[in-house]
Amino acid sequence: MSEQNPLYQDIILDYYEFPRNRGRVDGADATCRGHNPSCGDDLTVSVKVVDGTIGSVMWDGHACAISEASASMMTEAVLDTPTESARAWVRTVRAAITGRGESDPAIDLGDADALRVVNNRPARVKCALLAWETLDEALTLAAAIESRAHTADGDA
Amino acid sequence: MTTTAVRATHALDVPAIRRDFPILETIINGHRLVYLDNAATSQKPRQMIDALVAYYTSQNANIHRAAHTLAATATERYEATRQKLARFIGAPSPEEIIFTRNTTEAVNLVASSWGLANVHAGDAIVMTQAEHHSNLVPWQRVAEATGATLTYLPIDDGGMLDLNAAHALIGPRTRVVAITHMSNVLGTIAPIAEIVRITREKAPGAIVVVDGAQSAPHLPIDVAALGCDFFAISAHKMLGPTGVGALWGRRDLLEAMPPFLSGGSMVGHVTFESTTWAPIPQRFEAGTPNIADVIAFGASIDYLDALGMDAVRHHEREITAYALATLRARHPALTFYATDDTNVRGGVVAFNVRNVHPHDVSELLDGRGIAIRAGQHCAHPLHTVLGAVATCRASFYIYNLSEEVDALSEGLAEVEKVFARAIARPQA
Repeated sequence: MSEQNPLYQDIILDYYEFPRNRGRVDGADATCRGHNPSCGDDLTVSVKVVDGTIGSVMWDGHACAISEASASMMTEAVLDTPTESARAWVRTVRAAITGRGESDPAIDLGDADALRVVNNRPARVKCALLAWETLDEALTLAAAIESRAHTADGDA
Repeated sequence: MTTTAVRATHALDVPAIRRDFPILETIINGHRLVYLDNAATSQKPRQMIDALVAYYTSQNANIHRAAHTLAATATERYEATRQKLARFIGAPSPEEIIFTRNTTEAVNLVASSWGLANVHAGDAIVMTQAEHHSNLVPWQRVAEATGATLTYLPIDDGGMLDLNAAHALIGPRTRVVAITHMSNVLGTIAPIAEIVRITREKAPGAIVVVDGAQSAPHLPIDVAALGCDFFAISAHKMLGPTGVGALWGRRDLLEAMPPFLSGGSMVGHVTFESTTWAPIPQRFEAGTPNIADVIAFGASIDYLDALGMDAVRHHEREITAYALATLRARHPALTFYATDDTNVRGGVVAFNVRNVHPHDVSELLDGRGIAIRAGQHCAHPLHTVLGAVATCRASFYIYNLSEEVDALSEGLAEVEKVFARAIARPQA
């Protein structure tokens, strides 16, 4: 089977069949929904940041195998890392998948390296990236909320 | 309904038909193409391709203006397609056929021209839950601009329009009934003549607009018998080129409608102050039209005419029945979304494999050269009704063989093997 289509190699099917960190974070700082209207991939990423570090991150929704596997890989990769490292992960995965942009040489992609399989499949790049881009949005949102809270504190 | 007439009908000579479609020889990922995405667009016969090449090679000229021989010939051929199409769909006269880019533009023409002039605050626009975005979004915009309300007729568990609901929901405030003739997801056929009867009785001032994008390629069409007011089609789904669609409309309605696009070709007399409009159909064909593709579309209509639409329908009923029986028997993990009764459905088959996303099904089938569509098929609201994030869709046409259904089944067996553990889990 996997010899026929490398997209469905064992590591991706394993992540698809045994999802990691699926669900919603209680009391999340930010929750963002990523949607791929052409195929119906629909993922929600929720994240809680504690002292600049990702304390909890989960994904939920329905999407194709590569998209769901990628979401599980994302949560494993960035859990308990500083938000800046999580951003570097997003950039590095994006670079690995699209061949564009900067990657962080300090990051070892590990299981997520399997996502490179979509390199020459433009239709699936968006699937593989969806959870990572949605995490990126969620971190931006969490930072904006945090800075607004600080501003409000300052005013008080 | 025009679809179920029991007539002695000859069977299509599918192997001979296949020889007219050069693309069917194409090798995709090491396999001969199995093209089951006909609801998206049909493949093209040599006859149409030859007509297109011949036009650009030796007949190219602009129409409806110069007096030279080439221009006169081009005009004649362009108008010949209008006549062929009028006859093909049972339109009383070719002047009632307006060429557009596609079905979407045809519906936009009615929505913008008739809709904005005739729909008012408090009026109701009635559609169905099964509409393609092309016959839904333009009406949402009319409602937004005019203050009209939107009503959606529900479909039942078999994907059929609920006629009781039509009786209940079409009423004196109804100004537009916009309805798909054949669902591009479910393949189910709406009882248009019955809907027209209900509309005439309950809402005499309303128009009935039919999206015929999926029906005109596959069913014998007689707009006079259907009784509707407007009927929209796309050439590319019926063996024709992309970039051509058509709107049929009742003469009295078209003649009373303001222009849609304005500019060259659609005018009577122009002064610095004002302009008079050309008679129909020119009034609605501003600018140089898609001459080459309209002419080539004429060859597609000839091709379908020669086969006979009763024979086309007969073939599709047979292959659809074979597909549904085969897939249901061999693949218990499949869910289907519409009735199996080929009296009331065409060859569009939506399905899902338990716990496998349609994109993954399509990807694995593509590896075997099998082209199906995965996604929401420009029918997002319908998918919420079906309770499916997305669906797989196999759709058949005149050149499809039962062997290709078997190839689809073998491809699905591979999907079941790759995703065996996911499929074994309860439905997510």
